[in-house]
Amino acid sequence: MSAIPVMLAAGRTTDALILSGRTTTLDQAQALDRFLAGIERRAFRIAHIATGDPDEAMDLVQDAMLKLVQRYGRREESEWGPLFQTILQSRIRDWYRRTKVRHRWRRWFGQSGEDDEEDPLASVPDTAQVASDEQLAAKRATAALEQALRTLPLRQQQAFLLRAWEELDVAETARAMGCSEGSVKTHYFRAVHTLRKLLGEHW
Amino acid sequence: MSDRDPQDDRELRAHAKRLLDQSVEDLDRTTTLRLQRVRVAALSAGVVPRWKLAWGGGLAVMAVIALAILFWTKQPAKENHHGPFLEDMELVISAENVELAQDLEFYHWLVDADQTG
Repeated sequence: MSAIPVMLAAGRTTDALILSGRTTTLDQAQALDRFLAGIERRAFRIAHIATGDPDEAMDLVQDAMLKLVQRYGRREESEWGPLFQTILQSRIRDWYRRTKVRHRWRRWFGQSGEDDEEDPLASVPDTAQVASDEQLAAKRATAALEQALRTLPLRQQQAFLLRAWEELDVAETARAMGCSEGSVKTHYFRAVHTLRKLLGEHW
Repeated sequence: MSDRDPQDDRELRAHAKRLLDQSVEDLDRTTTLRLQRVRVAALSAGVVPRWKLAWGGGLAVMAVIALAILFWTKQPAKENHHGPFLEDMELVISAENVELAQDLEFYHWLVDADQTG
């Protein structure tokens, strides 16, 4: 659903808008809205797999959206995709570093972080319909995949999701991850190797 | 890296992609609505309505006009008040003007001499 009608209904916009300090047309704002609507759910899933927490994932997606709108909204539409991935991956890395430090401090003070860990099966959507055997098998496979992805080091997880799911090439993945193409290849190879080992029994 | 089978990689990738795509389709309504709200918030924060800029620009224009009127009305009075005094001072302190005054005395004497002579 487009956000522009919602904004218009709330009296937040008029016939023309100002983006990043410059005038832009309603068409441009709508294009940005369409773009974000198209990628938001995948972005959420990527952030959710990385964090294991839906609220944290939502915050990361919102931060990434906000930065894209404020800093890069005036760029060519074709640039938004790679830029958004770069911002999101950077936000995930920052979150990961912060969380690592927090866990270290908790361990230092003798608190266990085990309570915060989410059961991957809990994130499987609960549907009211009775699922068929095939659907149940797919849900189990998805849960297993998510669990396996979460056991990967962050860089390997990023490399795998960007290459295999987002279908970015090596150079685009390297830009999004902020590392060299050689590192991307190494992380991706290790990720595939580990996933194959972990998922062997499920797939 | 030599022991990997590219065919296995492709299958793993394809299977993972299918499952992840399906997981996006299966996102519950609450999450979808939250994402929509998040998008609206990001767009609202990043996009400033035109009337806000027009209001700010209007205030700036009004301030410039007010300043212009102030200078327009005050400046001539200032000149009238201080102008002659400054001009007198210039006359008094300028060496050229002293010479001119002496020359004038000489011209007056010359005129008087012509008339009498």
